[in-house]
Amino acid sequence: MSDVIVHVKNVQKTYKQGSIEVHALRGVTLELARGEFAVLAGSSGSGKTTLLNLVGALDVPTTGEIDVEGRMLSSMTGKDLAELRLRRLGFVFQAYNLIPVLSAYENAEYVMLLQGEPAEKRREKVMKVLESVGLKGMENRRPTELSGGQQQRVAVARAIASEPALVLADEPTANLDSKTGSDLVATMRKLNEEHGITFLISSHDPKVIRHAARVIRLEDGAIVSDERQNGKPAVGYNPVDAATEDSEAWRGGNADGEDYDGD
Amino acid sequence: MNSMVRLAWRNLGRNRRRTAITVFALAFAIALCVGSYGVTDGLNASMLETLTRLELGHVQVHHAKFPKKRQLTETIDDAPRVLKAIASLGPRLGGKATMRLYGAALVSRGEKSAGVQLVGVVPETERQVTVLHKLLARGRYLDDAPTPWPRGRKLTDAERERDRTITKKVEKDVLDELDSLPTLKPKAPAPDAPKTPAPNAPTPNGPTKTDATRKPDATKKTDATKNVGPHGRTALKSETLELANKLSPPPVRPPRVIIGTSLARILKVKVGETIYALTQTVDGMMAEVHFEVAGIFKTGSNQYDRTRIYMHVGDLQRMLHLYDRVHEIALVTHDAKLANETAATLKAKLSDDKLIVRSWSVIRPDVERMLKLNKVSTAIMIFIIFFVATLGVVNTMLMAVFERTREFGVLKAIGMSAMRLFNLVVIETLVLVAFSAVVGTIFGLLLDGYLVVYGLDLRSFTDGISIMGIGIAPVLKGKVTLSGLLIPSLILGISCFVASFYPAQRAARMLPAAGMREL
Repeated sequence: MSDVIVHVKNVQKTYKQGSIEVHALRGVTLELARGEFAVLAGSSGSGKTTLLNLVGALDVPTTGEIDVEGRMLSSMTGKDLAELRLRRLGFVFQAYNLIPVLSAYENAEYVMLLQGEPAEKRREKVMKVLESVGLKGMENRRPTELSGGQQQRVAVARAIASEPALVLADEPTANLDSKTGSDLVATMRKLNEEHGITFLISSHDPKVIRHAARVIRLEDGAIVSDERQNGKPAVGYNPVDAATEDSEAWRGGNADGEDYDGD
Repeated sequence: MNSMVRLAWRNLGRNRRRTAITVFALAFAIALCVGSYGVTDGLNASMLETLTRLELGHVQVHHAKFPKKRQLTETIDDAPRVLKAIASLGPRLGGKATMRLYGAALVSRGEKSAGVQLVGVVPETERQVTVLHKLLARGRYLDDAPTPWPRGRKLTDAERERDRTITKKVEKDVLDELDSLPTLKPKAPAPDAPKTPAPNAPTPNGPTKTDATRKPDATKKTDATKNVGPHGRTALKSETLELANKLSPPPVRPPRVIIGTSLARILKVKVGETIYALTQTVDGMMAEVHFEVAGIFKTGSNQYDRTRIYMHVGDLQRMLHLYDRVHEIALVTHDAKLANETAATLKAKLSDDKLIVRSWSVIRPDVERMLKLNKVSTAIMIFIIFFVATLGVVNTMLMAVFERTREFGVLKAIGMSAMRLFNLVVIETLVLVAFSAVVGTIFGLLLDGYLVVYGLDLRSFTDGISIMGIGIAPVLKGKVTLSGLLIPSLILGISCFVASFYPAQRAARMLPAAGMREL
């Protein structure tokens, strides 16, 4: 198996909003090695979420190609893409996106259920990941009975419970308190180091960036910097400003019903 | 699959009010259809019951020619053999059989009269085959034993000679009377008529020999009047009747009969009173007898209530001189649906070209068509109700899909395949319909129960309904059948299953990211 898990080749993504074209990504080229812990950083509307969606085969690029684990996404059938997402990718979304009728336990379990894992194995893993994200004792609560931060932790638990090869996380710590956020990042880092799971995270959180081995900055749909670090924040990155922008995007953005916020 | 059903069930609980309204609408539609089936099945059962248990039975055996012309002479020669064959049909196809004899008569009481059909039955077995004995409005049913009826004897030589003499006298008297009528007198030849007389034509010189025998002179006319005139003819008639009674004596008392309410009204007769009947025997003789009205029945069918007189088969056999003969053997099987099979088996067992074995549906194909038509009408109504209900379900599911676009996007993102998502929407629809079906069937069963116990009372509109000559009770009773309970839910399930494909494919075809961008 190749060392490159993701290869993004000159990808462009253009959305149409009525007669207006919005260029979310403008020719992005990127390689992500297996086992990397990379962060996509950039202001709101820079194209972070769009790039994550394209890498995760949730959307299709207007032009360009994306390979994941050596397979060209554009040549795969819908069924193959679903199988790829189910078995090789994990997602943590910006807006929790939990299934409201399922409990925390069932949400975390659901991907493994779709994978056809046996009940005993599912139970063991789910309890472990819920404990790791600080939700022990809250297994039977439904999303409406959990705070925003707790819901986000369930989303993280769901993404990592099936031990995917690549986790795509969109602002995973945005709604977590400092300690839980740190614990979560530590958990993800541990998964990265011990199990070799690759992480591609969009975040402004300094805790996340601090743990990142690689920081890729996006501006107006293009990569402006791609830096590797050893536990230090990326050069020129201001976490305070980014967190403010992120919170505004969080409150507005998708929840307000816009077709696309460009993030 | 269990997780999909669980998820579908929980999803339906999200918007409980909308789910409740949809369930109520579907349950109402199902209950209505179950009730309609109950009424239709009840009506059909009532028609079939009336048709078969009033007289027809499920299978009938006749002389091969009897059904077409219904001649008195077309009887079943060996009824015991037929009964034996019926008894050998076994418990599944067999049943109860009874024998019948038919005749026609003119009945009167005072100045009122009516043409009727006389039906001779064996009361004991008829009770097991038909429900006539339960339909008595007044009086009582027929006695099991026939009316005591003395046997006749052959005339002595002297009596036969006397009978011939009376016959000749009456014949001569009648001929003379006919000749004396002005219209029968020969016309006088016209003045310009040809001289050559026509063959056998009366000549001017006097009557021919034939004329002499036909045209009595005054003296002979006086003799005739003296011997067989009105007074003498009455005497002869009485003497003839005396001789006839020796040959075929009258019953010791009037045979007891039961008649319909309409006939009783026409004849203005009550229970215990007698009516006079005139009929023709199998040998062409006129037979007259008085009947005592033992009971008055009401079937609800005007045809039966106005034209039928039931009596003991033994009495009718004596009246018609059809001793030990019957026209019909009717059989009621345990299951009307097996009538055709029973008829075919019995026909094979009898293997007699002189006999015809027919099931009720062959005898009355019009009724069978009517029963089918009733079912088709109900099916059309159910189709319309379910078409509307299905549109409601599609609307509900489309709303659910549009509302949950983001969630479906997430499900696809975490790896749910398009087919699984499609299945989820279909399963949700089926769970909704299944829940509605359970509720609707329970309500339908309660409605059926009411219809079975109390029925649909039409008495404020009519005294009785008659469809194709078959009387139906004015209170239409429902009937609960397994098919009537299950078919509505099954049809709704299938139609909603197919209809759910549209919202399901909307959900399945959506791009995950596009779904998640939606509210």
